[in-house]
Amino acid sequence: MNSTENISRKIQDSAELKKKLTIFAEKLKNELGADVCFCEIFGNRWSYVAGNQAIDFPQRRIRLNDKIGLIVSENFWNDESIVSLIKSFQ
Amino acid sequence: MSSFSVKEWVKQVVKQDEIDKYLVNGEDFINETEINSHLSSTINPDKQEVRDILQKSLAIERLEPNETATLLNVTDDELWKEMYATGLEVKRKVYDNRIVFFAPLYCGNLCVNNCAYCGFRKENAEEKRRILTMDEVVEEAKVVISEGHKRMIVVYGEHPKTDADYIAKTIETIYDVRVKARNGYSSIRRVNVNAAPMSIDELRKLHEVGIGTYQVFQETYHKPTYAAVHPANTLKGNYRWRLYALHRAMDAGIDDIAIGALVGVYEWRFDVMGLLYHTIDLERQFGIGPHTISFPRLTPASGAELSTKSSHLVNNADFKKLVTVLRLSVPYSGLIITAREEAEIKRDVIMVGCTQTDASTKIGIGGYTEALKALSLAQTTAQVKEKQQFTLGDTRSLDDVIREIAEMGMITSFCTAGYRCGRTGDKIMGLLKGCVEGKFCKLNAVLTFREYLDDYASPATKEIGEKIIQKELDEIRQIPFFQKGNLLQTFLKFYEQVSSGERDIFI
Repeated sequence: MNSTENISRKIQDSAELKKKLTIFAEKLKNELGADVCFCEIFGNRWSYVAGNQAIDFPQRRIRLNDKIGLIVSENFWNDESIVSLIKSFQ
Repeated sequence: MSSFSVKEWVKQVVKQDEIDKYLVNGEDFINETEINSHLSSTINPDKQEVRDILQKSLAIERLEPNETATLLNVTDDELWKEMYATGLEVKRKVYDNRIVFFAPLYCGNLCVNNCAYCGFRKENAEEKRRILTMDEVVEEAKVVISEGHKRMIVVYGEHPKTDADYIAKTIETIYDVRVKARNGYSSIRRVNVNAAPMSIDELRKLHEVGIGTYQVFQETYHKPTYAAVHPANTLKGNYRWRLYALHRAMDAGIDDIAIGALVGVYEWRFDVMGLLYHTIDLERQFGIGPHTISFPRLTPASGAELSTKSSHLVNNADFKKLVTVLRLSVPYSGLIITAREEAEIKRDVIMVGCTQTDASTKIGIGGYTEALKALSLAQTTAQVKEKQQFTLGDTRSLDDVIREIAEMGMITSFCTAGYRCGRTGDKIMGLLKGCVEGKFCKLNAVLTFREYLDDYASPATKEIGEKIIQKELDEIRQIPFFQKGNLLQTFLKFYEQVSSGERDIFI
């Protein structure tokens, strides 16, 4: 199971995950200066799950897989570093 | 679609444990004695006290029950004028100058309930009953999209033939419909649902296919009246199953939920209080209030005597007060005024804080397709009461209503950006309370109105619409919020892209 599938499964399985993702979003902020929030994707809907609620606008959407997306400020362009950190997520 | 017989299906719908888990010491959140006490203890309110409450609304803070009761007890006409003006000011702070448009799509009028005010009730032999096939859903959606709509609310009676699986299938079907426009293709970008209370597992099915908002109206919060108009041997007769429908939606992950009351079933002031208590309990248990609040008024319905003979029918003056007090009491929730109402009162309540409305509405099953066929034969279509749940007060086209909104100085929005950008649930609530979301309402209103003017507008609507767009663009260039970072440049780039024919670009 890859890391984004892992996140997806945990969102469905664990109410505690919201707290963990909040911490993870803080990690992205501290290590990369990236303001992000995590969303669960359902068709057109990107449901906010956790993370920064006040990301600078304009924003971009990064689709990690069919179920999980990230919202990040458009001013932040280093997507690879975000994805790399996400891969380290356990 | 369910494989149960109707009787078997009805027996398994209510899950008692999915009511009990939300009760506090075995009690629900509607305490009639407490509500009546608030209403009776706040009569003849002091003017300064009322003005202090208005300041709280202007600070975008939800009112407490005694404060809402105080506003409901105002009798001074001059004070009401201040309240109307404050309602509009609150609306503009939170939602800016836009009115969001949507279209309802009635997918079925089979129903196991027998509500005294409703044309769908099962004992109404006059009602012509059916559900739409998926092919028919496609055809209906095509007509709606061809008018220029981007947002739809799908409506169903409560019946095993229109159960959660059917609802989920219609949502998926509608999202897949594409219709050629003057520029590119258009589609429904957000599907909201008005359907009967469901279990958490069933609601997850709707969440999975990308529901927008889930809407369940309590009709009335007054328990004796609720029991009188919803027979006890029906599903809808279970007051608490309905009262906690949206709590279950939250637990299913649907964090955009909508409450409402059918105005005229019981005393309107009581039901305004009920809506407030519903809001408070959702916020207490989930931290998220209602995305929207609706207040449809009883209008005549085929085979439903109460719809014309209720002793609590509400006149236009009181209806305007009702909308105003809701605007002031829950400043951050959207308020929906529908085509049930006639054009004049719609105009009135938009000016005290409504944020959404529908137009070009057909509420008969298959009504959009039938109207289009009639048009092709150069015939006009009257409302057919026996195919509808109620009658409409405003049957004007979308283009006509948009033109009127523009003449009122407001901009029409077809924005569906928020729920596609993670601005849902507590996040969007935070942005609304902080008066930030309205800034994006403004930008996305311009982008989507540009699409409408270029793809669907009549020459007369386009002419006045261009003036509104220009006014909005001038304001956007002046407002300091948009000067931060590269927001203004990004928006102006998006505007150019949309003007050049690109579609579905949003912030």
